[in-house]
Amino acid sequence: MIRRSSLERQLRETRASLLEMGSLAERAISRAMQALAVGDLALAQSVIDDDQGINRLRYQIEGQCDVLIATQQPMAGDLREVVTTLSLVSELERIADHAKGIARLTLRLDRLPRPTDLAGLPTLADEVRQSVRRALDAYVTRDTELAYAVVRQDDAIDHRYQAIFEALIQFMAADPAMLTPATYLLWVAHNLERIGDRATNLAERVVFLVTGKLMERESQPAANPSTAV
Amino acid sequence: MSLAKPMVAERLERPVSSRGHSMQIRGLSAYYGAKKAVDGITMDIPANHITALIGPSGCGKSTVIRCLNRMHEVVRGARAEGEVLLDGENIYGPGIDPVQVRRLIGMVFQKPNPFPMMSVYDNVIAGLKLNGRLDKREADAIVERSLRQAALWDEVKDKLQASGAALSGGQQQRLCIARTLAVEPEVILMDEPASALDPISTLKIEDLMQELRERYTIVVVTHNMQQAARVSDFTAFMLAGDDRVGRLVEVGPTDEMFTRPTEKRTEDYITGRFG
Repeated sequence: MIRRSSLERQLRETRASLLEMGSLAERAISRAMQALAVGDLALAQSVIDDDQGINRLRYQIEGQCDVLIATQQPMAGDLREVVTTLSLVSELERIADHAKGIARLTLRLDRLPRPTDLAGLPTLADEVRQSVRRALDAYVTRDTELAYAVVRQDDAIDHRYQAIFEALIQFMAADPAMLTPATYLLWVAHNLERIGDRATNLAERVVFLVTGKLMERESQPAANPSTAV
Repeated sequence: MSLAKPMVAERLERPVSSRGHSMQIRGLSAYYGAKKAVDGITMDIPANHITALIGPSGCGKSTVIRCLNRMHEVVRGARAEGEVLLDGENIYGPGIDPVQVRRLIGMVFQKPNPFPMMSVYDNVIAGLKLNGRLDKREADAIVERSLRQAALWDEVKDKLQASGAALSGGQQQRLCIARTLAVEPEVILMDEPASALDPISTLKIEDLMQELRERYTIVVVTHNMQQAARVSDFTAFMLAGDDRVGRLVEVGPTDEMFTRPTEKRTEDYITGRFG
């Protein structure tokens, strides 16, 4: 077996950058939700400010992929890895944008009344952050079963989003003073639900990376009892 | 339909629109003396498509392509077993004239090989002259048509009487393609047709192959995987085992072969990790 050391080094560097970006996106979700939970405006502002660094990392990784394609002519599995990386960084960048959106809403929510336990938003946030984490784990370990599990988890996330939506509507109906904050919280919920969708996209791309097949949401294999979530 | 002499004229007279000739290789093995070089190749070559044969040096891809028009047996002691069908007829069948096979299944070689003492014009009709006399008007028409099909006409129309050897390497190769086209083949075999050419000439040959595919069935041997990926519709990967006998590993649509090959050995080769 010939080792293509230059190609493999470039792939390793790209993988490392991608995982760094993944952890920054995950961290942005956590910090945005923490800022929301305790009303920490400085923390919210830092999430907004840090988003530029994540955007820069995305362009840096795209540049790495451009160079890799131009100089190494990757084929088959190598080519899928580069193409997948380009998709993943785009999704991660958008995930970080959604976190930034939550941080901006936190600034708007300053000094407004809030429903108790934020109508279940922290639980939804934990679920979507976990989906992002598991999709990235599936990428690292090339684990399609885990990727499929992330895809299946999206239904539960959608249901929780629906429940939060209805709860917030009830808060608005019960107390006109809640109209503005509950509207902002609806937007927070929407941002989280979109992060869940993007985690699903990450997982689908991992399946493509491993199998070469683009999966349709509907054509995923039935849940394996050992991995069902 | 017979490949014996009387039928050839009938084939060649068929209008272009009714063309579209496929080949099938069935259990083809090739030998040089007692040494087996290629073992049990079975694959289809669809009409009006480009099929690329790829594989490392010594895998037998050039031997296979030479078996497709009975050029292999020209080497002393060389022979082939199995069947190669052109439109269902075995070109190795009894009574088949190899000369006629080679007229219907033309070949372009790695190094441009125009006849050095002949003009551009005479080079194009050299194959037809061997097959009998041509009147001037007919010859003029064939020369122009062949050179146009080979995308060379505009470059040489004012110097048809110049020596073929005076052309650039890329032009010489297109002249050889024109020479092959002049006899109206059904299938064109190309053995590393661009490996001796510079990148611009190579791209011209590749463009030309795309145009020729409309009229002809093409098989190309190339060690340049990027070229196979660029030009072909189907790709066959061959590999020689420890016994140094070449075998077909995998054949499939080029898009799939270069993005998600089925066989690990194919993946290793096209990702450059074979060794």
